[in-house]
Amino acid sequence: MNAILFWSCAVVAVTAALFVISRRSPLASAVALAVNMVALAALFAGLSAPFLFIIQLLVYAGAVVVFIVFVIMLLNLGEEETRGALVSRGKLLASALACCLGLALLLRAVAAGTPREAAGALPADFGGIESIGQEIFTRWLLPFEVTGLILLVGIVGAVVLAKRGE
Amino acid sequence: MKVPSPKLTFWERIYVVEIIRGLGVTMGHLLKNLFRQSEMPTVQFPEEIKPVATRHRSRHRLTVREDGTPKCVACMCCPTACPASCIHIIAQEADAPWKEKKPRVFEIDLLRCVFCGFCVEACPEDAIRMDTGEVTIVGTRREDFIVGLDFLLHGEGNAWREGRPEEKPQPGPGEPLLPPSTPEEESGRGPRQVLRPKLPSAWETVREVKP
Amino acid sequence: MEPWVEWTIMGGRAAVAWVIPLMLIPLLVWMERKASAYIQDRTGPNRAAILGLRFGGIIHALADVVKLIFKEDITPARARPFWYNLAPIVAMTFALLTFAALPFADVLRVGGHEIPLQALRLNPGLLWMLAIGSFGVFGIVFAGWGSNSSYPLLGGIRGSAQMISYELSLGLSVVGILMIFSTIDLNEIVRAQGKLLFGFLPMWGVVVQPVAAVIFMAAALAEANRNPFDLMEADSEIVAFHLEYSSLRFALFMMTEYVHITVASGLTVTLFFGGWQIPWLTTERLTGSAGDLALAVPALLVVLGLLVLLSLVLLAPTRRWHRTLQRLYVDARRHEAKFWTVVLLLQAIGALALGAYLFLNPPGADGLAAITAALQFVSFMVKVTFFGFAFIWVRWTLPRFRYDQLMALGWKGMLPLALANVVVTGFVLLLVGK
Ligand code: SF4
Ligand code: SF4
Repeated sequence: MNAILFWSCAVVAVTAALFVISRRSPLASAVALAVNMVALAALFAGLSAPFLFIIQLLVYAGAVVVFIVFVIMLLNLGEEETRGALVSRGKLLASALACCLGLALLLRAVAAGTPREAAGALPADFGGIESIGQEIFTRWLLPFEVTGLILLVGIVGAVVLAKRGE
Repeated sequence: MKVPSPKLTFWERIYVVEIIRGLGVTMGHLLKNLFRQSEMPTVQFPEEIKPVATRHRSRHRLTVREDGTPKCVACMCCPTACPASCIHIIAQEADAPWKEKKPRVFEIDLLRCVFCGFCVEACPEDAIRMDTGEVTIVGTRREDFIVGLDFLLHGEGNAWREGRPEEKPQPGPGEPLLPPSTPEEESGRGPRQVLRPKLPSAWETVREVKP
Repeated sequence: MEPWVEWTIMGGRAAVAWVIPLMLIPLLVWMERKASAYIQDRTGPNRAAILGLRFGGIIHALADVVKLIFKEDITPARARPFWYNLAPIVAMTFALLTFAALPFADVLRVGGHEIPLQALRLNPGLLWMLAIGSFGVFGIVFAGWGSNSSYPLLGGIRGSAQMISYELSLGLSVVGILMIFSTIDLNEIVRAQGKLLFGFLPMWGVVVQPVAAVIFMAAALAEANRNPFDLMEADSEIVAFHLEYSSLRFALFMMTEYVHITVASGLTVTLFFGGWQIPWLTTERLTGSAGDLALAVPALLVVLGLLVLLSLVLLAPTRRWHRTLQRLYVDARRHEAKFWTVVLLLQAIGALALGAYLFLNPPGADGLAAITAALQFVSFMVKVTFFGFAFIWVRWTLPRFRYDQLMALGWKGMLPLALANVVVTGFVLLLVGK
């Protein structure tokens, strides 16, 4: 059961990711991204992390992609008119590297079984909201706060840039 | 121009209290109408019919003399006055010595009529009136609304509700365009020939016939 | 439990969560038309009838369905067919999925088994509602984009901007509730609301978090695109995102709006108005599991008694109505009041019979649990229907906001207020020492 879930979600996620980079219409790319996010969320669910599953849905598929789609609508982006050269040396190199990496990961996954099996037994409240809160606000407090600060800087920067344009 | 917006008090500005008051108003209406349905101003039309005002103008009728013949003398005053050009009269010689003409065809296209009442004002004989009280005129085809002499004279009730008369075949190439004047028609009380379906092209042709 | 029983129960749970919003659609449409009519001193729909039975105009919903099914389904030549066809499906699917996490009664304990009475028993159920709710934007965006026409596109942009803005206030207003009940499991939240405050007041969310309740309801209206925030489709003023749609596709959008109302009122009820709780009657007191007298049967008897009373009281107005009908109509409609008299009498007799049966054969533990669940389900549905009606009521009371007012209210009014509410709640909890 778990293996079926894992492999089907993995295939969907990878396919959607390929769609993201291969579609010419920006909206199609964005929606493929959303599908990718949902597949990842399902993977989290399979890893007994219900909170992360929901957050992945809420923040990434629900909020981030919606924002991307909204911007696409607002700018009314059509299909990409001009494209660079279809094939270039850099692209080929990058694709080859990506393929190698993907293959390595695939082999590793097949060898180790699904991640859930690999992880073995888990504590009772693993992945629940309490345990994650405990971890974030005690052990990882500093990184968490720094992340918040960085996001704040980003927001202020965006506001400053937008105001300067006026 | 900048229109100053009214100053709101604190309670008005946080909306909530005002919203609740507004909800009270609408709920009052809802409950009143729910429990006192008979006091609602709506008239359930086909079942309940409001009386029309006494000086209304409704579907036309042609008045008759005591002997049953139409009062109309085909003087052509009403088609002349009609702003919508929707009255169509073909005159013929009258048999009585004291009047010259009588209508052989008298048709009103109710779809073109604007119910202005000028025809009534123009008539020197009080032959046309708009006092039938019929304001709902229903038909399913345009031809249904072209009403003829017989209907205008004797059309009791709302003939539109009684179903459509049988279609009459269009006249062929050689046949006369006008209905033959029968003895019944002469007497003014022929079999009721309510509506004559006719295509507009035929209508145009009829107009040009000079009897 | 055998697997097939388990699967059947699971399917049944899903079906209930699916059927509730769908069944409420015609009811809400009817309420919208009839209530708006009465509010505006009109009679509203009262013509369509089957065998003379008009059901107060609800048959018009059926007539609408028939009309919408048989209308021509047009895909504009310049539309983007994939997105255009996907949009109504996406909108409807996510709207229905949202409802899945709402508990419609407490966990049912029969024969040593626990059956959660919600389609999707999720620990972070509340977040599910928010997450799937935010997916609803996709339907609007796809419709605007897929129609490939300026006005739907603008409508889609308006709608998505509004929904994104109000999602923040919606999410933040809920935080106070989470802090007080310290859980995000929707069923646990409802259970917690069964407690009493100061010994007599049910600890409903609206009592402990009144500000959050107001913000939440306003934001829920905005999320459901209802008046006074229905800028997205503002029927009388601006062109909606579903301009190019016709026939059943349009009907899907229309139905989605009412599903949104159901979901919004379901969530409002669950978070702020005690969900399936019957005031002062917790599950324990109803089933008698705490040791004292089980109140489920008396409560049911009271409900049945009220039903009998209502039926008998309604007989006199039905009689008067009968005379009106006889005066007005010549067709089958003149017999309608007779039908309702029979229904009222049957209802009274049925309720009496059921009451007598229960009185003579007191149910066992399983029966008590089942009756409790049924009572809670009725309580939940009554509340949800009432709030669905309240949304309609608000629509016919308030005028529409202007778009800049809408954004100003969302960002400058409700968002800071929701944040302040979180902070104040935190301080109060700290002081109370919870
Ligand atoms: S009422 Fe007016 S428009 Fe109608 S037939 Fe008479 S003159 Fe013509
Ligand atoms: S004005 Fe009177 S008399 Fe003259 S044609 Fe018309 S109806 Fe006949």
